[in-house]
Amino acid sequence: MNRFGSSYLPLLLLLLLTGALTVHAQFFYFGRNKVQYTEFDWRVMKTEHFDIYYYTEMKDLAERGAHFAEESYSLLQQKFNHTVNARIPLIFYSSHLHFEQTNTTGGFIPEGVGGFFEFLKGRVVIPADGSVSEFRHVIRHELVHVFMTSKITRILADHRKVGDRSPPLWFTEGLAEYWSTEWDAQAEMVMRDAVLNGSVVGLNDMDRIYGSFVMYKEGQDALGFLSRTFGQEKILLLMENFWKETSFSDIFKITIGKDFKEFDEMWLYELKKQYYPLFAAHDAPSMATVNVAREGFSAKPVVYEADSQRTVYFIGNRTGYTGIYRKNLDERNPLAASEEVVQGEKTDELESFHPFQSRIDVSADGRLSFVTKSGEHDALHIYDLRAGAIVQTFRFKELVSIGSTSWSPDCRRIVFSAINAAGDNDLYILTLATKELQRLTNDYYDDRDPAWSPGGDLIAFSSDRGPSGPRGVYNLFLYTLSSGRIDYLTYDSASAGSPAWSKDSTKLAFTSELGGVKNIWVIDFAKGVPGANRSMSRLTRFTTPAFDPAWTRSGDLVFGTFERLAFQIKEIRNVRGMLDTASVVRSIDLSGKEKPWEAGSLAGASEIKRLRYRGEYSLDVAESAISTDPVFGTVGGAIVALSDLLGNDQYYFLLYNTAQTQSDLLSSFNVAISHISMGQRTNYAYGIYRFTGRRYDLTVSDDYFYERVYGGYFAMSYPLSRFERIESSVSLSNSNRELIGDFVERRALLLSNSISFVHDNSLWGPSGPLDGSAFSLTLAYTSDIQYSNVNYYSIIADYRNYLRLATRSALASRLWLFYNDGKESRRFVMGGSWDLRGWPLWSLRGQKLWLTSQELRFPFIDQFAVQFPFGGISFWSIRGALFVDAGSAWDNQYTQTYGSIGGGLRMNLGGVLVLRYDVGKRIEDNFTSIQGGLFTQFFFGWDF
Amino acid sequence: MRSRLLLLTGLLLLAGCGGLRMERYLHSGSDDWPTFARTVAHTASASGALTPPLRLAWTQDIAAGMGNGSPVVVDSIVFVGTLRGELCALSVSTGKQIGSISLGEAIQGSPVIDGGVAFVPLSNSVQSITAFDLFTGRPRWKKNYGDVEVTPCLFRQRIFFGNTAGTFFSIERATGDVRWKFELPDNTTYKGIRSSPAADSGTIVFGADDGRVYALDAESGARRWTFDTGGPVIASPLIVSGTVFVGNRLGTFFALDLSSGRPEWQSHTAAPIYANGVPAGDIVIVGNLAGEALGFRVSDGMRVWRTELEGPINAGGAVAGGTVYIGTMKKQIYGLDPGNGAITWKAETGGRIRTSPAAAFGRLFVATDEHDLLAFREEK
Repeated sequence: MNRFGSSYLPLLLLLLLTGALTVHAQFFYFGRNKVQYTEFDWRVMKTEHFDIYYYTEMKDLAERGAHFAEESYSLLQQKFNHTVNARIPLIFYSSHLHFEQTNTTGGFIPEGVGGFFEFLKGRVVIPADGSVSEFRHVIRHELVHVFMTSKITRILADHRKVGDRSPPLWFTEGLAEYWSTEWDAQAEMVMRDAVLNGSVVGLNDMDRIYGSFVMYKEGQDALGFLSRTFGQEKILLLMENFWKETSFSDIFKITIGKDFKEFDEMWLYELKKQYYPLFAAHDAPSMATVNVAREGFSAKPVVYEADSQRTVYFIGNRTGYTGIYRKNLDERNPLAASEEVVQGEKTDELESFHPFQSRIDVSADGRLSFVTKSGEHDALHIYDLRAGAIVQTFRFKELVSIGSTSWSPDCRRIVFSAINAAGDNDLYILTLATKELQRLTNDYYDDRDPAWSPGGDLIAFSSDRGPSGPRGVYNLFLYTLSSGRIDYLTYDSASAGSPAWSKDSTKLAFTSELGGVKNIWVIDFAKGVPGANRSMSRLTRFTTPAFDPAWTRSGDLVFGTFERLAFQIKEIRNVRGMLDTASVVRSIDLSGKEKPWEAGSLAGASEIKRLRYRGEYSLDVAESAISTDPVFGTVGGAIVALSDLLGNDQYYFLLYNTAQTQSDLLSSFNVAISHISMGQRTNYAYGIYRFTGRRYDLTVSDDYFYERVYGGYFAMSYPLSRFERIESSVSLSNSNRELIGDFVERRALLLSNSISFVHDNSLWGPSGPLDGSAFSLTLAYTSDIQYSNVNYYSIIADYRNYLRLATRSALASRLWLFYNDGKESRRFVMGGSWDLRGWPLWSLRGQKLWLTSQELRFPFIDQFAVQFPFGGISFWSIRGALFVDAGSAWDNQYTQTYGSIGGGLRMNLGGVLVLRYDVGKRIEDNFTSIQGGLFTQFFFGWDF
Repeated sequence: MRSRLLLLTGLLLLAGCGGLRMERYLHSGSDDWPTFARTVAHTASASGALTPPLRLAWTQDIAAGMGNGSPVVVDSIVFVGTLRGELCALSVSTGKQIGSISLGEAIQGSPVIDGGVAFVPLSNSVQSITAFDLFTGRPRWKKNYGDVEVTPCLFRQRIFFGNTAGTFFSIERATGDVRWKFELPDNTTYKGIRSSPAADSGTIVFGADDGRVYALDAESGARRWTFDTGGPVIASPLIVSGTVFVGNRLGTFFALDLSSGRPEWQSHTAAPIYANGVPAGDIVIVGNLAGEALGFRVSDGMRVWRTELEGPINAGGAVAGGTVYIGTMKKQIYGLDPGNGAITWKAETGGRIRTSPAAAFGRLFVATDEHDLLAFREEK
């Protein structure tokens, strides 16, 4: 289906040009879309060390970020004993949803990514999430990477060593955490769970948790232990000794005198000493609660009670798609499965959930409020439990990202937190009938998790507006609706969050990080003497955290937990009794409360300059190549690629020569220039080219020919949503080809047009899709508008469906209908491991083609490990497949139907390559006979 | 014909290898700067004046970075040891390279030149001290004492230095034979010595990663005293008039009595101190990683002045006449008035300055991490 000439250099160019347009369409012509919904008005703020890129709406936030960046620079230049003398580009986004639109990286950005440092251009890209302290943390984290990279590069250059190495990820990320933040409840949660449940790994085995958040925190803890035990200077020495050895484990040994194994013995022993005593006074959540939902991922529960039935609703993920699930709270069978109520992440409306950020809530009259990303911004949905459908969806132009929701007792209003384009996370009330939005808070403090009191007059919420806010400490506050007054509810040095009112308004359950990890505490408003300090009682004493408590009508509590790396839902049924015997009761002393803090900012600083961003281009690729082939001769050339700092515009320049004799030199230059624009929702590309040389095009005939072609093209792609797009292209080219040997000349002035619709919401497993569907339809017409030598049209349809049979098994179906007709129409090719299995690669050719495949995909071997005396090797996720294929390719006369049946194994290598081995039998002679022996095919490539 | 071709090939190969061999014996003179900070006490004061403003006399590419020492100058020849393990010799007046020799993996400290021999410390190499005869162009001896990343102290015909494993050596100048060794006490967590030793009155003083300052008897290696600063001591000590001055990584600058180790005064600064102090009259000047240059009164530690320079100060300064010259990692070399800290001159160097400058023969020599050696001279 290559619609250009052949020979590999033009093919490379074609891949670069067309591939860039659908860069996120990861596999073939399918793939989801990274949609540029928002037109950002980019500005540049130049401080002493940074060029800060921001958009006008977030000017204040950018000025605070500039302050944090300069503050971090001063600190890090001392910690690293190093300066970064080049200006550092910092690209800020005011929310994660805006960040997800960035073109500074080609791939999709998952919700868990809080920023990144991109090595090629030295860019740091950071979103805010409403929290000033977290913004500062991420800025410092990424600047640790900048300093480390600069320092190690400098050390290797000073010693004239090749800069082909970098420290392991546990060290780079561990240090970025260690030097950018304090040891917090999240870190404690991860380490407690890893140690107490036996999943902690030493430095020697870090590859087992490579890239995970656990690895970040284990790295942070390991470096803390190293610093405490061997001295803080050793961390710097690990970098300064980087030139001495190529292996980091050898550098480690040189620097601290112990290898990884010896270090691990000390460190892991220390961890056990630290955490094992917790069992004396704490319980594992699973040992002291009733299980509600423990399969997959489960979080953010709420309880709805009607008709004497108690149902818990929560955000869950069982299959790879996140959605809303429910379960009968009184279900006796603990293994009973939860029921999916709302399936997310397959449609434009419910593009993705925020399972760690947004609590759901249910109204007294049976309506569920929840939040998903939906297009440019988040949307707030109302789901009627009785009707079993979404009945209302609200989108707010001024609000980008929405957090937790809470219903008013009269079921007419909803309070929620939301981040606006400026990056401020504040509280809002939505009146459902009028769609009127009322803003309750308006500042840069991070206001989260509102909970409307059953009495209707108060809203409890969590906020960092207390004096320890700059360190990321949150307290609980009460917002009085009648006066707009905000009062402290808790006043502590450890964070409190997720407030939940009991149905009778007398108690407020919440989480507090007192004691190291989040546990559930309760304030009993009915107790105590009026005028005296309130007290808070610790309800749970779990080793690992509890989140998001929700009350039942009878006063039980349902909540989320984290244990054995899993988020589950649990219940406590004896809350009253536990409160009566609570061993830890803490008085809430509000007498010394201070005023809210002020964030540092470079606003008004005279030394900073502000400019409009006008595109700053730098080199991405500059590569030359030369090759020799017995048929095509010697070909040499170079390609240069440029892009701007924000990655919105790319330029490609290709120059090569196919001359085989000196006299051909001038006439054999091949040139292509292209521009790709990705800064707007409509991506487009245009360019001009001139190609000349010998060609072999297997889609036309078996002949070699010489072709000179020059022309230009314009192509565009408009994403309708994350899952669907329209693509179109037009090209005009002058083609002059001579059939080698026969000296037959064909001239043409070709005008080609095409338009395609592409849909893809498939979900991928280790070797290919497991769920969802993909569809593509292309209509194209090519004609010679000068000589009438070429004139044909194309219809190309490709449909794939993946029927999930179990969590890791699926039935995959594929149907191709490809149709070219007209003068000099191209041939399609088929055969081989990617389509019609059992038949030689590309052995079937025709202007018309159909193919259908059915494939059962299932897990085969999860881990296959071989241990040698000198070390071991493991292979993961080996998957099995049973398949049947049928199809044919023909020009004018349909000849016969071909087929195959068999099974195979697939193995993913490092997430980038899948090896495939198939065994089976061909179905031959127009589906009348089966191959005598067996065919085997070993190839690479993802499943369709 | 064939033999001539072989000879020509051999000569070409030799020319390609380079080498370092002086055409004459080097004579020590009062204008020399023969070791890191010029003297065994690290006083870093040039014999002649070098009055700002200065101008760039020449720049020479030395092909690699320099460690934590300084250029050394003897008999109108400037020597630098590079992090590629090369000892290079350049003409003081023109910067033209006279020769270079590769001695190992990296030279982190400075060579010490004495009697026509360069005593070169080497890191990550098979041999860690090489006595290189500059006249014959051959090593006189070379031996392994572990990784040495300091500038050795040549004192009373012995060479003193510590290694990164925490062992301190006294060896014979002539043979490299070990006279005595001193192990850092309680060295269970691999503490090393990265502070270049200073000597005075029969005492060798150095700091260690374990946070202590050690004073040993030069003759016997017996410990005279130890002082715990509380943080790793990477900086090299300075000894002036019976007082040891040294800073630590926690940013505290100490004055210790040379004979007893008793603290005379201490002052906390804003950032880690890697630089050695330099004396100028009754002021001792030190810089830290916050870019502060600080002048303390020698007698009582009173901070007389504080000048904020652009960029962290990783290395000590050099005093010439009435000016102290200090480099920063923001590619700047400054001239300060030691009396009040006023900046009297500054120049852009094109690269970070991590090493101490040297002042000799009317030149100020500054190495940058852009692999350049710069020579400045008076503008007049």
